[in-house]
Amino acid sequence: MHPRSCNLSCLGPEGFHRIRYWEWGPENALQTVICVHGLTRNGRDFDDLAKALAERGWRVVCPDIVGRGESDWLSFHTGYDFNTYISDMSQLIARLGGGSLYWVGTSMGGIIGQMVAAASHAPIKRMVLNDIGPFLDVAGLARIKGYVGTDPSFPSFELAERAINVVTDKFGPMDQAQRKRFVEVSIRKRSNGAFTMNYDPQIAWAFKENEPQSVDMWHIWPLIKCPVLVLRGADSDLLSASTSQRMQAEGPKAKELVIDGVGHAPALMSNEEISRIIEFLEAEDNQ
Amino acid sequence: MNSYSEKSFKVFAGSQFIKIAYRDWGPENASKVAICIHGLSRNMRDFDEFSNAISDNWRVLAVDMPGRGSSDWLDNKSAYNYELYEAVCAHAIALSRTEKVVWIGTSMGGILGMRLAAKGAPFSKLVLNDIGPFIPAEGRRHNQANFGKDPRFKTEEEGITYIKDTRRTFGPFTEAGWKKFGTDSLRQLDDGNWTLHYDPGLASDAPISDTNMWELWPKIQVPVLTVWGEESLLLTASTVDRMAYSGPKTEVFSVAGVGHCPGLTTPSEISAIAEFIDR
Repeated sequence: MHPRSCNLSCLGPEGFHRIRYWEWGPENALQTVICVHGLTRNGRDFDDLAKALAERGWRVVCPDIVGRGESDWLSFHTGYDFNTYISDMSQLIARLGGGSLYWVGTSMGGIIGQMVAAASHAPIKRMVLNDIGPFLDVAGLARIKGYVGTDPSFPSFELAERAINVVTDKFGPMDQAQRKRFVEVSIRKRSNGAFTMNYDPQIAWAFKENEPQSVDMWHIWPLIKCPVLVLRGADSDLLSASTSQRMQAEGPKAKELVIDGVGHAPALMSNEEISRIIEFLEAEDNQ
Repeated sequence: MNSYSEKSFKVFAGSQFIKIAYRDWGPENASKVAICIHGLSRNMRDFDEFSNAISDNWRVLAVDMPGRGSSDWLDNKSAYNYELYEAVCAHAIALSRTEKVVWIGTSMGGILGMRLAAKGAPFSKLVLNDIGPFIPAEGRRHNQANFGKDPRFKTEEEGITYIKDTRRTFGPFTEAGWKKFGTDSLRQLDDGNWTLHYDPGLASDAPISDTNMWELWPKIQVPVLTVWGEESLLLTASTVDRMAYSGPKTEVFSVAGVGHCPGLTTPSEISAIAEFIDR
């Protein structure tokens, strides 16, 4: 099973830019789940989850956020912000037409998800937050600042692979084949034959220009009205156990799934993760 | 008679999603899609005759902009601005599911067409109904004379008469056409009275001056057809000339005997547009 490669012209801060999204499953499905990746990642991270959902009749839509993967890059770095990302996702939601909409967001994709779901009349029925919540620990942000947007050049694929494995060693669990594909979609070949990361280094501008500090979005948590499942890597340095506990106690009162042996972030490739996500998305609403 | 279904989509606007209504005409999987956007105080119903005429092989999406017709009204009236309208238009383009769309805009809808085209919108063609990159203050003043007045009418007929009296430069319409135009402009309140079909809060008291958008004109890279009401106070002969000789060098279809703006209901207007977009 392969995804359909689709394009969408989105109006953004520099006029229209093109967004690539990967669509799985029946085009006219009644239920659609949008899967949004983390800061430096792209829509292909969700291949395994998307396949499993598509086989059950879901349409699954995995965008490459602007500046990542196969989507356009912006000219000016300041356009890489949550206003742009949310506006793009709103346009993507319009593209997908009616029907029920669900959200799976890893890290940055979960921040976008929380902001979208907190808006009144948000068209999100259920949301999975992967190792992200309304409070981001400074430790994780400082670690990310250390590697993001350095625009490295590697003479060989293997060296690029090694560098990616270093900065994503807490990402998992993945078997060998999954790790291989995870690396493949992370690497882009430059015009001169060298290898680098598959994103515009300018996406990191906010990390570069600011000292790392924790991010507090607790004010939007009670505005989220849809059921939430939070996955937490047991060793996560971005989503702490205490933040997760508060997410379970307040607002939408999230359900929690802890993934042992991984940090930021669970890869959503294991049978356990996939089956628990499907179970949550397909649960009957009692509301 | 072709049919339409009335649908809606959502647009993220600050802390809320707003509901935008549209009429969806013609085959849903058509590769040829036209998006129609109305003028300042108007709504999607202005394109019924045109949509009906071309929707054998065109899908037509006629959209109510925020504050008009069946779309949501905003609590914060200052949020009625071109930034929001452009976002709404981009969502309509997205939902068309095609690579390129034809844009048909009357007055404000044409301003949006020019602005979006200059930003690289995926248009194949642009139709401007009685609007161009320069609008004299006098024309704007005239067009907005009764805008935002929020009148009440005891009967629908009374409302139709008011529309006819205040919108005499529109047309040409038959007697039945005036009745439809009037009916489309009205909505009934819970108390039985009739009023206009838009949020009176759309009107602002900002001073009216000339609007000069010539910097957009050379950025428009697609073929343009301008439908021109020859007596228009908003689109003058000299502006039409410059539109025809510079930038995208618009074709012009003039409609004699009307001002702002042509109603797009006569066979000659409809076939002029159909011929242009089908070419």
